[in-house]
Amino acid sequence: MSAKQGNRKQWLRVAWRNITRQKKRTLLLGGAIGFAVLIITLVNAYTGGLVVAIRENFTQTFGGHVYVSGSVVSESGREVEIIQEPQVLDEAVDAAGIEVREINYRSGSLATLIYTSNEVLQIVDGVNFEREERFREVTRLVEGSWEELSQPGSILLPVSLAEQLGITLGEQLILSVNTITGQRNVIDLTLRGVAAEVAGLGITSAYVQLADMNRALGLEPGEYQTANLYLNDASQIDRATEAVRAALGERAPVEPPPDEGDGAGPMAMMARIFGGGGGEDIEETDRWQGTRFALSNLNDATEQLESVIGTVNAVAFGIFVVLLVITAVGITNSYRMVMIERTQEIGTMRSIGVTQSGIRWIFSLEAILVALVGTLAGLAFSGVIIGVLSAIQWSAGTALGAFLVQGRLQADLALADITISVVAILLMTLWAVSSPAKQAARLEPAQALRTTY
Amino acid sequence: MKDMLKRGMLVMGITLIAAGAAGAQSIDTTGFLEQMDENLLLEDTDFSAVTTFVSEDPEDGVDRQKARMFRRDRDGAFVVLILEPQANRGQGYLQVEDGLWFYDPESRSFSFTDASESFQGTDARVSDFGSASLSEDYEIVGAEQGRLGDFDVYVLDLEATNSEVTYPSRRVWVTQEQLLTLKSEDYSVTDRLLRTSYFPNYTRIAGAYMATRVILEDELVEGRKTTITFEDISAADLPDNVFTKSYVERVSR
Repeated sequence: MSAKQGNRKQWLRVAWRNITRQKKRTLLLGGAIGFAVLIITLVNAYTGGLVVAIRENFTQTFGGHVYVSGSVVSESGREVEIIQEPQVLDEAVDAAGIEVREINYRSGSLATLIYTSNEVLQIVDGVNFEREERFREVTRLVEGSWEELSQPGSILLPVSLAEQLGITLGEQLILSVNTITGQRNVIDLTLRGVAAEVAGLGITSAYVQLADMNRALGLEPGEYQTANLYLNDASQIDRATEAVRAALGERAPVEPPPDEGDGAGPMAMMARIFGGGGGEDIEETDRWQGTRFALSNLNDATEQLESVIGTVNAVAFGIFVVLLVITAVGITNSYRMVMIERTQEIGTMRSIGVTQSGIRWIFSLEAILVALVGTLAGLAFSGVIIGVLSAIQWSAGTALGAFLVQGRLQADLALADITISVVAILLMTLWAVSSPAKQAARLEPAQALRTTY
Repeated sequence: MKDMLKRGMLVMGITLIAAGAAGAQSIDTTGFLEQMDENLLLEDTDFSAVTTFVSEDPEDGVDRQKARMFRRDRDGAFVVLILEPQANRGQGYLQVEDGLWFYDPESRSFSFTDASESFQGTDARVSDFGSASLSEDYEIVGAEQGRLGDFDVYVLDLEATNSEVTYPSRRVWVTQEQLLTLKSEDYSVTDRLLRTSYFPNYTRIAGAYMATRVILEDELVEGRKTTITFEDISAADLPDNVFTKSYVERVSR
């Protein structure tokens, strides 16, 4: 071991001894740093968790990552939401060369559910219960069974909706809806399943068999309004969307992307997924033949939200920096006090050969150790809080609804965020302690030994 | 005694058969729908009225709404502006050439809406406000004679000729004399009775008949109905700008 290395080890020991002999001060300084770390970590974790929850819930609700809808122009020139050439889409998906786990075909609309004199306006999705494996995986049935739901004329309601209607399993209700061409229609359905709240998006769908929804909407049994592609790799959403768009473009009319000038815009695209599109009169010059396809994806749906969350994170980081600056002032003042308290001790150390840089090192190491202990404590506390909150099964109806996936609070903390926080704390600590450390190092040994307070 | 009973039953049987034959005798319905449209059509003038909707619901009780309505049949245009309740005041519907629009004064924007949608949560449909177009949208597939209250009527079964009208099939009771609709039953695509409408009062204005009171009974929710009354009816000409988005926007402020 070189003399230099030996000295540093010695300084580290002295620094550690100093922070343990001044426990109260160490606790206050470390606590302040730990609190700042706790706040920024929790904010980062839960804003990240919000994005994860919303993406997951969107994927669950719509049964996929990439959403393809279609519309045709009726004889009277009205836009009607339907994919009339499903084979074109199948060919395009094959030609796009993307890895798809499931393609889920759905039809849906805003409908009125009527039970005795109670009625609720509700998004109702037509789903193929037998075929949509993922849907069955993520939907927690509280009452009823998938076997019963597979029967024609079945409806699956979320708990809150069943309670609102006052209906119990096995009872009949009426679904009242407009067909795709605008005619009034009703069908009778039997409640054969009640599910825990599916999503925390504020979107609670009721689900019926695709064939029943088609009957209500005036579609043929094999037809559908949207095809939702569930990708093997969710990170390839944009690439897959573009590949399908290009392949479809070679076979049929396709709407421009939502973010392009002529595009329908993300909100209009989303409306289509909910079955809320169509119905507009199309100018004769703008009409098209066959099905015109429109594509959107999970990223389009969450883009604006993620931008808002980015802003929240930036604001949180700003607050974190302010907390750090306040703590830095505390550190500087504390170490000025330390310097005064230890003037004679510094004089003694200087007299027995500790260099000026040695004194600076001891001060800096002491502050760094306090900062590290505080940071670790803050991270540990965050971990405990996140762990406890994640273990609780929350109700989707609470204010936390948007943060939940399957009733569990989502937290997502990126390593990069933790690293940035730790580096910022260490740099700030070094800057805060640099001035008192320099002053301590510059003390004249003889004068320091003579000084009394 | 036995003979008398037999004779009585025979007479009753013959009477019933005769009545059935009279009801089922073939009726020449040519031109009926055109006449029914014409009865209600204001070809050369405009129409305006203040409309009151009283909705009775077994769950929500009684609700009252008021709207001002303008109609120009020759252009197939209409405007409905909500006056009451205060919370919905300023909302409006505009039917013009390029479609049916709903105006929301809060967002100050127009959105496309469907004629088959419920009007402000009542049993009326937005399509009820347009001019009659039975001859365009329906054909008569069955007709018989009958009686409704004090009136001799034809009972006509109508089927839609296109897939875009709100009700794909209807049964209407029309007076034999003027072919005025007194009652209508509206059915869904799955042939379920959705709504029964009664038209007990008519008035004449500029040569056309106007129902001044309409009762709409919801057949899906027992006990729910809406009564619509029309007041301040006028056939005075309206300025062209009434049937524009800018007018709806301006008067909604």
